Amino acid sequence: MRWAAGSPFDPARARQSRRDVLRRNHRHYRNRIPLYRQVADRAGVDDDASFDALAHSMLLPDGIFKSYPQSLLDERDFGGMNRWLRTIFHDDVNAPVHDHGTLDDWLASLDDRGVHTVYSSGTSGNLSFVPRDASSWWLFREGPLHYAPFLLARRGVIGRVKAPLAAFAGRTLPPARVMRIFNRLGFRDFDGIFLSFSGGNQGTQLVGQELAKRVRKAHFLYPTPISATAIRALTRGQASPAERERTETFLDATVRHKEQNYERMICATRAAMDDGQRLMVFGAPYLVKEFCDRILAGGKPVALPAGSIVGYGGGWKTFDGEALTERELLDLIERAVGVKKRFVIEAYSMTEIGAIMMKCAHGRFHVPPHLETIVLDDALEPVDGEDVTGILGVMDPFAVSYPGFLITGDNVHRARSLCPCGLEGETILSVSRAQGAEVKGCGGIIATVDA
Amino acid sequence: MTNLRITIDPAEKGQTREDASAPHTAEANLRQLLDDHGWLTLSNDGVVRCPLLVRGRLVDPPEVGLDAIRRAFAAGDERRGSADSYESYVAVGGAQVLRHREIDRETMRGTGRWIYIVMPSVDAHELVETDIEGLTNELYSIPHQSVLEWLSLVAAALEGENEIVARVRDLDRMTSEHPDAFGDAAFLAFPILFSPETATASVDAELSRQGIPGQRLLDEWVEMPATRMPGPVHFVGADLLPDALTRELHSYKALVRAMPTRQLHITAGNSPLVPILSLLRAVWTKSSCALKLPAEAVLPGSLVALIAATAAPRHPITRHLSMVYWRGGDENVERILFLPGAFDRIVVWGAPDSVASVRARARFTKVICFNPRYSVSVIGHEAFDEGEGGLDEVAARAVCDSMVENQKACVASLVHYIEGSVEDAERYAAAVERSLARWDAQLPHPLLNRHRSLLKRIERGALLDARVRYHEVGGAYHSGVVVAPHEFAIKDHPMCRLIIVRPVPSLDECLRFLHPGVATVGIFPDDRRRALRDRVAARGVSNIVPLGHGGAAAAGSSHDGMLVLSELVDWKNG
Repeated sequence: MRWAAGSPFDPARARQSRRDVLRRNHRHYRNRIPLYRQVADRAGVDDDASFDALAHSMLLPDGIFKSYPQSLLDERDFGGMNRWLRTIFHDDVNAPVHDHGTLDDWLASLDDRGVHTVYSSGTSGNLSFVPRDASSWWLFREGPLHYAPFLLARRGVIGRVKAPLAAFAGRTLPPARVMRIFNRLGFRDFDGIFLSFSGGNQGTQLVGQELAKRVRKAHFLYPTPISATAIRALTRGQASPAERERTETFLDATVRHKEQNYERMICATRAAMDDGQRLMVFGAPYLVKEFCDRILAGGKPVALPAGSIVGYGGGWKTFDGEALTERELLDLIERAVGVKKRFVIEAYSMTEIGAIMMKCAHGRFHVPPHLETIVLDDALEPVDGEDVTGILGVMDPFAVSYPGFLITGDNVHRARSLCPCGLEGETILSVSRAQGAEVKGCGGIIATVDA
Repeated sequence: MTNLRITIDPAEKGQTREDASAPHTAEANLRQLLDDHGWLTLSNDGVVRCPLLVRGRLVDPPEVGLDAIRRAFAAGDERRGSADSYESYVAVGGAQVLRHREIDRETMRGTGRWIYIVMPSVDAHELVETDIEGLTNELYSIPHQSVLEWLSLVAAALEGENEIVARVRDLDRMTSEHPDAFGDAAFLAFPILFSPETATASVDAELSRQGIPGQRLLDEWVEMPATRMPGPVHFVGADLLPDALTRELHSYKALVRAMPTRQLHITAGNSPLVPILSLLRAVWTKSSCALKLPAEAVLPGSLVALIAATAAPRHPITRHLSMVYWRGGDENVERILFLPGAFDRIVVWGAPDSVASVRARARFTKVICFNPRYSVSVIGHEAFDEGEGGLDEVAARAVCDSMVENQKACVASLVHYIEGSVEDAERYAAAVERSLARWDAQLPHPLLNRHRSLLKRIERGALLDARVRYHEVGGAYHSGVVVAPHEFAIKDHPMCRLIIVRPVPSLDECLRFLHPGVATVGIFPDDRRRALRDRVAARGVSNIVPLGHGGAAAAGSSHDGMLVLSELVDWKNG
């Protein structure tokens, strides 16, 4: 919070604090998370390993979150899934396994027992599951709100009067008090147009759900929880009547009523404008594109009130059609809803970490100082330096209930030089997908099969 | 300076320029062409000039200076995020330039030097054959024997010009990510592939019908044993038909012909043999061919183009052959090539995204696809019996199946299923390890960084539960065997001489892992193979072969479920 509000920042001190916590996390993982212990034993890394040893040997591929045999879900063996989940979680997993018809039922049961499992979907339909206990869950949902609003304030989103007040509060008041003020006043002059699902623990959906609690009125493109059962079944087939039913419900709520949903959102947008509210539009880039396309197709572009914002994140992963460049998307947004580039916010994050990196006015994603980034070369060896390019590894001190030392699937350019926007700390200048498996391993049926 | 497009028609023994005032050169033979134009020669600056072939005419790349090339790449690199892969293609000064890293053959790491391959740009209109009369009279009407003559001329030239072939092979090696032995094997295979015997065997095997050899069906209209039947209209209108027609209907003999076609081949680079095989299929079917070379095989492709243009310049096959390169997705080129009627057949090798893109844009053209696939080995408990060479022989066979194209080919085995316990799998894995060590000693295989990365990922993730045995030399990985008790995602397989051994309680258990994405299953022993064959085939596997036979091929075999030549021709009734 202090960092985002512009307080003086000592990178060396932040790094030392981070690494102390990370070394403690390592001991915790090693003693409580079976999979991590196995990797550590194989690598000969003990409790007192140095940070460098951890960076060299203990970053785990993000595939650990989908390392379960797919046959467990194919056969609805949720007892097996519980046992698998325990290998990446720091505590026992005791969700009852009888009477679970579907994956959604299993996830709900876990939730009831305090294992809050966020999932994300790949193109192959193999879901990743990231389990968080109650405190990690709170951190995951609330943590970014301790700095993201201040980063928005730096972009001028909050307004000329509120922004310096917010910055002052962020630098001087206790964080809990700042959050109380923010929850009461922060986004109440916005209505939310969330191009996402109103419920369900899937990746980017949670962002809209958290923001929805803090705006005056929230409108969801899909006013229903997202279904993990349906997401998986659509790619891998539906074996049981319960899965078929969930899938049909999902399709009814989404693709079968797609145009009605967008029409409803456009009406809600106009109604909010009539009420004098600013608007916050948020979704995956391809959904923002679809929303803008429909506004333009209606022949009546809207001009959202001054100070409205459009936010997106999560990449083009789920869109089969044409992906736009950033410039094209910004141009489309301005033509459709009148929001200029300054108020279009892009964020970079991933389900496996408790941090959001927001892009500043100068095009850099700012790394919050609690997150350790490791840049790796193409042999997965750490590369250090002030300005380096490579595969992004992250070490998240807030990841306590699961291993938070991860190799991502992204290539990044990371810099430590001061950003022209004035905010100190590390920045990511560009992100692209890392070169992964050979061509034959990436596409089509091969992306979906186990051997 | 005027940017002239220089085309060379070896049949006319000279070169033509767009301004007709330029003098003709002396008779063009291969060596002279290479010397005169500096083709397929590495300059001190790391530049190799490659001509392309456009309907029998060699097209010389324009002169482009190294400074201009470097500036073009620098501009491209600036536009990309610095976390992205290096730019490998630019268009500059009327030329196309590919850029590859030079690779130290000992360490398989980049030397820091770039090798630039300079080619002419492509005018897509020139690749499209519109003179159907000309095709019919010149190319489609040649006898099969004429195809064999072309092949003989090209094969003889490849053999005769072995110095030039060696030069191109050495150039290709400088940037190839394949170990030398495998790259060399591709060049060594040329004489076999271009042999007339292979052509006739393939044509006869894949196009024969009802006892009539395929070559005859390609050459002429052939009477079929069956007679034609009158249709419903003839019964309905029986009273209205002329008598002569009524008599004809019962006596007319059905004639069939396998008609050549206008073919576009978009080839892949996982093996240098892929573009050559695609080319040969067009040649064997007497078809016109526009072939897109993959970026990794431009040099051998350019060599074959030169050989064809100089050894058989007047032959109709050469005059209707183009071997070119363009950047995949270039709308200026593909928009023309995918128009309805531009080609009769489009062959695509490659990733599903590429295939889907071509299908979507060439909706009215028959598209033949070769998708990425992989292969596996299935070994019965009989392998542990002492007879017939024992476990080591079985392992040697299975490793042979894994080593096809150094585990890069679709028919290379990535997973060995062994019938038995985990302990049995460990015994088998030890035998595999011994066999792999022999391959490593004979055919060294240094590792690329991306393979190191993939190995680390799977060691720390997907195969964490597995028992891993690496064969290391001087601390460096050369090959590996992993006994994996659980399933894992095949997309995580690094395909770098790593064999996954999976114990199964019975061979029937393997069936659930088989699907259309599996190209080949090698099975031991042979009686188990015969017993399982239909059930394996029913699951989409194309080749169910004895263990060790995965890399073998027979002329006329199906490929990915197709008799490809039969798909390439157009079957006509006359």
